[in-house]
Amino acid sequence: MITPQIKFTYLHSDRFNTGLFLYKNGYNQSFTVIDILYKKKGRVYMIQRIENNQINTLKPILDALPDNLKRIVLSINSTILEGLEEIRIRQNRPIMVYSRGRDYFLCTDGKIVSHHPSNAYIATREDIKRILELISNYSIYAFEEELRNGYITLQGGYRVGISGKVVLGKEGIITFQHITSFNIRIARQIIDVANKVLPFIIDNGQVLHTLILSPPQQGKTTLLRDLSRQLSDGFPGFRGVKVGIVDERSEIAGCFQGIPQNDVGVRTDILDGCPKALGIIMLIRSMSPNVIITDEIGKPEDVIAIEDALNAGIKIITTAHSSGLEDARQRPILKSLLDKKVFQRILVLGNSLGTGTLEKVYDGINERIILNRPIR
Amino acid sequence: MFLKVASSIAIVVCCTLLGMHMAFRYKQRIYNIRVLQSILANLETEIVYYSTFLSQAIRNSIKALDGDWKTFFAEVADILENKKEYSLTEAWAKSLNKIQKSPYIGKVELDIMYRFGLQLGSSDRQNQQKYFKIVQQQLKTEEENARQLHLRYGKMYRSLGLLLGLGIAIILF
Repeated sequence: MITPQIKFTYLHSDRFNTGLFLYKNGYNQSFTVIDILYKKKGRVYMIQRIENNQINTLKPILDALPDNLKRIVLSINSTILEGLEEIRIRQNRPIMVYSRGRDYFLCTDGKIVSHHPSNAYIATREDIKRILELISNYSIYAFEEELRNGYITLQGGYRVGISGKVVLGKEGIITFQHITSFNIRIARQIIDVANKVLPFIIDNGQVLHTLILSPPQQGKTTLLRDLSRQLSDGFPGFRGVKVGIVDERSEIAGCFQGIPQNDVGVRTDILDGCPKALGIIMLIRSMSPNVIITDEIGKPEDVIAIEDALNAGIKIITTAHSSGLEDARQRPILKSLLDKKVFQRILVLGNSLGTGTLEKVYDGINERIILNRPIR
Repeated sequence: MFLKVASSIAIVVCCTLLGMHMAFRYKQRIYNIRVLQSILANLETEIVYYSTFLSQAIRNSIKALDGDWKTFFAEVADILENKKEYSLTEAWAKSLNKIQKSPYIGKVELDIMYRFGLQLGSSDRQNQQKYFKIVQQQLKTEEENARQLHLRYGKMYRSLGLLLGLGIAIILF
């Protein structure tokens, strides 16, 4: 719960970050200042004391919003804030928030409602410009590649999706002519989702080559993240191994300035935003990983790179979009990999017991079914 | 008698110094423009080749330099880092306001820099480089103009100062 605004008339420090502050009456307390509401000649007049850990984790997102929006978002009901998944800001349209699977309109007074209200906060051109400045740290030129891919990653691993009118060139998208809409995604790392999966992909202390087949939205990436963390850190009965991640879409590790914002393990190296084929070869040459983890193979060059890794004795864990083994055999790239019996284990994810159910496990070499009943 | 000589010398010296100060303004303005060109050249490298974030790029560009323009850029970097409620344009204008009173900055450079600040950091590297080339060209022209002014008026003010001092001294005594 956000405690009510506390009035102070005197604070020593001019720098307002997490820290220890001395009040006029001599009490020491520590807190995070999220917003300075009034400031007069270096003295803070009113601040908000935040005890809620949720707000602290959302700080990078709040920093990406202009002051007026920041205040409104902070006024949102804390239950909604705890389950916050997306904040969508569209020019000349009401701002909406998604939480726990439902969407809401944001009103100018911070209340959120399910139906379009008359006092909805309409995002202005100025809001969009300020958000762009803040997420790019005033440096659009430093985010050319990210803009071409349509998103910028903030500190904390939060992705801000960008949309609007693009400028096309010979080789694809050059940049945006008009940016008119943002989708701030709050992805939360879920620890220990890989617990039930790990026994199937480790045999005799050795990691097995694994292909994870899954339809969209079933938690492939969350699973990969946790697999990386556990294989890299190790767990009782398994010593940690060196892991290399080729994170082409910056989703697995959520790197910000090259530093992973999600916990992907102590022995893990990440190539952020790097095409899989190039990345796998680079990791083999320079990082000597035991396991390489990458997401969504589908191109012929990916296959060649995977074979290089196998020849080097490196284990591969990767994923592909598919609803099952039969469906995978219909796709030429996957079919060629399956026919070459590259993977020792094939896992299929699905939805039968909820998101992220492990539906089936196959032995890739002799095509026996190891697990037939879904588990979660 | 001695007092007369002493005060005449004092007057002459004061007026000469005044003249030299007026001349110095022209000279210092040229120096400031050159410093500005150096800062912008550094900033171009930081942005176009290293893609450093703007506030850090600015701090790197002003190292080992001095003058009013250094103050300006240091102020901009400070606002960008610590006062996020300001947009770049606002931070730029605020800092320009601070240095515009300086006698060693000309209005033309202020205008050039104001227009430059409107687009800084808001396009890709190729376009940023184009703007840098434009602004350097403009500053080169203005440096030449400033040099002309210095040639014309610099010596004039120095002589004027000396003559005025001598004139007053003679008239008085």
